[in-house]
Amino acid sequence: MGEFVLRRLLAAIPVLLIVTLISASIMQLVPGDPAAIIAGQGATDAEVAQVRSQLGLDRPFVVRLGEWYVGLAQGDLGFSLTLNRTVGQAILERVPVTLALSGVALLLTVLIGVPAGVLAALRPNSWVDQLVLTMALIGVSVPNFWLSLMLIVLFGVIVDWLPTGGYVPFMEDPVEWARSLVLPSISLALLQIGLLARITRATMLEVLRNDYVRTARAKGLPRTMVVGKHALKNVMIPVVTVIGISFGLLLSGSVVIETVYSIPGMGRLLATAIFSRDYPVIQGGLLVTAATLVLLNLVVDLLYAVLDPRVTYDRR
Amino acid sequence: MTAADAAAAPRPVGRGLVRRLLRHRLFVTGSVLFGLMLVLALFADLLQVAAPERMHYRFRFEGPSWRFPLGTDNYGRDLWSRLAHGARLSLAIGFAVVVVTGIAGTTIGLLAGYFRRLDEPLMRVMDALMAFPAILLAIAIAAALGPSAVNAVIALSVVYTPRTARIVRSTVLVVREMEYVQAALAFGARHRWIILRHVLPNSLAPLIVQLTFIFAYAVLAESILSFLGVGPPPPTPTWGNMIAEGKDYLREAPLLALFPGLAVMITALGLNILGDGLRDVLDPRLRVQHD
Amino acid sequence: MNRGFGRIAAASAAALGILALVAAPAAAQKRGGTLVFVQEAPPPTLDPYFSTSVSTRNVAMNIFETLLTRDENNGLIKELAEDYQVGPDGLTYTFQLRKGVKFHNGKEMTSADVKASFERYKRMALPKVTLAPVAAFEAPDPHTFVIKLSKKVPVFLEEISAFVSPIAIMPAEQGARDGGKIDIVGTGPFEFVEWVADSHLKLKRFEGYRPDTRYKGTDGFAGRKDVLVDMVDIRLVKEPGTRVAGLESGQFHIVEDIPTESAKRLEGRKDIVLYDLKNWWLHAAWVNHARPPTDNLKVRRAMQIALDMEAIMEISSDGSYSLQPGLQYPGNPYYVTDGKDLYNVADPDKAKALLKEAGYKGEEFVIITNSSYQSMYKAAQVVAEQLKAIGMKVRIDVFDWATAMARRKNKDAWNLWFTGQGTGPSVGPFTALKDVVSPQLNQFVADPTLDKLFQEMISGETQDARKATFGKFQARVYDQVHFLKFGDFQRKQATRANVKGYKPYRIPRFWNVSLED
Repeated sequence: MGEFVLRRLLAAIPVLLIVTLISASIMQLVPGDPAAIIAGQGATDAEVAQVRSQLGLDRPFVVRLGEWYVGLAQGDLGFSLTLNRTVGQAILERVPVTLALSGVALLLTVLIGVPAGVLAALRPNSWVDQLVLTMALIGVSVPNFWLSLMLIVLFGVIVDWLPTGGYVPFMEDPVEWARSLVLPSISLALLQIGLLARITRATMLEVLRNDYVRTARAKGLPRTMVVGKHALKNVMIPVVTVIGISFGLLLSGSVVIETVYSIPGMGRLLATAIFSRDYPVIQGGLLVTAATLVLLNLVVDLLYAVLDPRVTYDRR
Repeated sequence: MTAADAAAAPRPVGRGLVRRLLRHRLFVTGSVLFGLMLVLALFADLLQVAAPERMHYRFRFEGPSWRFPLGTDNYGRDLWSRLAHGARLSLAIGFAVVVVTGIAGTTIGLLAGYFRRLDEPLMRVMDALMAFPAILLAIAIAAALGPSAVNAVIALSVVYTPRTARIVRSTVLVVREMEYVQAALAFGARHRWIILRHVLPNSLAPLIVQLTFIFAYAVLAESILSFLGVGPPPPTPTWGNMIAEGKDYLREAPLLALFPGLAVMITALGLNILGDGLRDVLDPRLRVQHD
Repeated sequence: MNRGFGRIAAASAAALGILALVAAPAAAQKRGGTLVFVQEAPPPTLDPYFSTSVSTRNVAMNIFETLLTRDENNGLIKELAEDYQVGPDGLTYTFQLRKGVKFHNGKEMTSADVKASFERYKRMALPKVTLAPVAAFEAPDPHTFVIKLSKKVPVFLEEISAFVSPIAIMPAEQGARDGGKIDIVGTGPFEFVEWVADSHLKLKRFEGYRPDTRYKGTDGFAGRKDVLVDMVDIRLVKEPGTRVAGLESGQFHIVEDIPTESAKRLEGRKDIVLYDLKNWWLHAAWVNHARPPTDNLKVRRAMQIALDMEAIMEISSDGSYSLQPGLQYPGNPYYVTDGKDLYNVADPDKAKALLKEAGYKGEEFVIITNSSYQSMYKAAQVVAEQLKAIGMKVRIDVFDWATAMARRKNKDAWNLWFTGQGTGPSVGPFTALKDVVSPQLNQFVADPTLDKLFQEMISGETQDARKATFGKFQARVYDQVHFLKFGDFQRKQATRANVKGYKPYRIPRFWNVSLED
């Protein structure tokens, strides 16, 4: 197992290196000058040039990128061009917010998606099944930013139980924190709930058709026990896969959701950085996000081994 | 669904297909929903009641009426006509993404799966592309190239190609180990012949299913790009920039954002159901739906 | 805090399934509380020397102060300067500083700090050209500061008091810092607490602040500043819908920018007060004289007289605007209406004829606008429709703001570049219109007449002389179609009804504002 983890971590290095190269090159191709944005539209060329040299942007791209890698090797992600802080600080401020948002969304996904899928599978083609399938299909077909807008209208105009934007840190006010996450996490989770419900249902159907489950049923074991003991255990493996994928998707989906609901998380940090051409933040933020996704895949693979003793990653 | 499942035993696309498809309830439902949008797109010029970019300055924010079936927007433009023309561009972008992704993904997947030496470098780049949050990658590419329908297609294709490539590659890996392919190789068959004759047809079923879903994602993603301001520029409407333009008037005129959003949803819903149906018929091993 | 408790109480009530209760307001007190102010854009930096953006000033003008600034009508007013004299030769400016003014770090402000600040400004500020004619800064004693010029600049005081990028006074030890790398320490009534990027900034009352007793109340950026609230929480909320929703639910106290459509809906609500901030923004587009077809004056004229400014402004502002030809705001010392005959002509037939006469053969006319500012995006679409109606072939390029600015430099990339000027037209004609004067950004083809008028304007000895020249300058801008002005925006602002003492101004002022019951 240890060797497998090491091998995977080593394999991640070239992937992350390519990630940083791609992001740096794309941003180099994007027209626009952070110095011009900072200086303002009335600034003259000379004024913009002055800002550029003060920010060190007048040096060649290759030199800047090289320095960035040198800094990276020392654990330094650089200094933001627009946020008045280091990239590390900026990311550390945002990560908890996005983790909270994605975490709550993931919780909703599992708490709703798995039971819905199981219920549907237990009575195939019943009305419960039809309902779950329909809802799941709608869930994967709704544009989540549009759903957010509609929820904002609903909760802003018709009822006002819930805040329609902003974020309150947990330490400041736990109740408000929870309330501020309700609408965003629902908007974010809907797609994943749909996916998970469909996968759970499909896997469950397959498991229920398996011989040993049929045998158990034939032996007269109560249905709940069969489902609970045999079926659910086997459903866990694909479900874990999907949860792993979901978490990645949630991190990505948070870009739009955080923008719509004005939540200061990683997604919004990166989107704003792209629009203000804050190169160090884009580089550092994308690297951290990509590394998270790579690690997440590793964790999912390891969970397989834990859940299913037949899976082993050690070379024999 | 993992890529490994997809590879198991795909059934080649063949005869009797149409009959099987038409008997399939999901496929028919999906086709009808998607077909509605297709009709809207194809006959937008006939269905419109006014030119989509024509501004009626004195009729801003009109409610639905005989003259303006769905009312007007903040420029006094007819919402119904814009919705119909929006279908045209939104679906065109989705379809173009499917074509580009299909070709690029198949090529890369075939190369990586068939030629072992190309596998490692190609798939590492694909992994790296997939390690980006999809939307951010699309925003950055669209911003780099400048906003236009073509560039939106490029941006979205870059995002979805790795997923397609993976699926094709895993199918290829299974197929090339099959006995008859091994036998053909042993008899000295040429690579091109094997790829065209055996590998490609076998990859087709999962590919078509995947592309249907990519079509749905692309329509959704186009709306997100436009919403964030990097989609195709006006005056040609897309559903995405209609929602974006409507978001300033959410409370006062919610219909502006409601209708195009519904259109996106119905299209995606239709495609997703269609995809499920196709999967059931083409590739029963992948079935997650009805028994 | 009582308000916080109220919110928790309301939250738990909702959690118990009881329908929405309005949060119980805090106990009666004119002093205290946290004022929640909402703005759209995050500041690029808080260093006022290093940015000309409104979002920077919104925060910085509450933290920093300057020697001279502008009053409610944009006239000169003394702030950190107790008094000042201009020498008979017009080259020496002597400022007596107010005594007992403290920085947020507790130290008293002296002429050494003022000198260091001016020196830093001259070295690195964006508009450092303002101080280019300075020969020397001197600090003969702790409360006297002297500026010596190498040549006469009649508008020198107007320039150093302009607040586009204000010469804020900071502690001397920051004199060597680079742009954006300062500690946020000023002499203003509010002290910087924290800045969470893209989320919020927090300011608190500076307990060591001594209000300027020369004045009775707020006057522009100066005046008597009493801080009534304990804290100010400046939230950055991009989505207009979210800003309005937060105002309605009482989460936000002051929203500096709400959509006109929402304002119409909120009218008549007892718990919300609406404000009009007139002359907020001059909405316009630059005209490129280098690229065909707008290299031809007749085409430019056709375009100019085709446009219906009412439709453009109505749609881009949703009805919150005024139409007037001046490139300054009405009421400003330099306001003139020269060129008015060429403004808002809205005669498409005459335009068509002129276009034909100009020999226009369907050359592509490129509009650059951006998706970052909705009003520019909307105006561009209306302009495009109106130009198509007279037979022009129009293409709209929409970029984000950064790309749009980058494209502006390319003289072959555009004919019309959409913009707006907020602060410029309010601080005087010298900064606002420098963009059309050589060798500036948009003048790819020099207009010697205009350049000469500009030089004449800034060297005019008296304000009357300068104003007269500005009239000729504005007429020339209209005549040659250097700049297409559409109209002036009014900004809709709103506060909760319990916010007292708020007066709309170019930049929000958090002093003399209180939170009542």
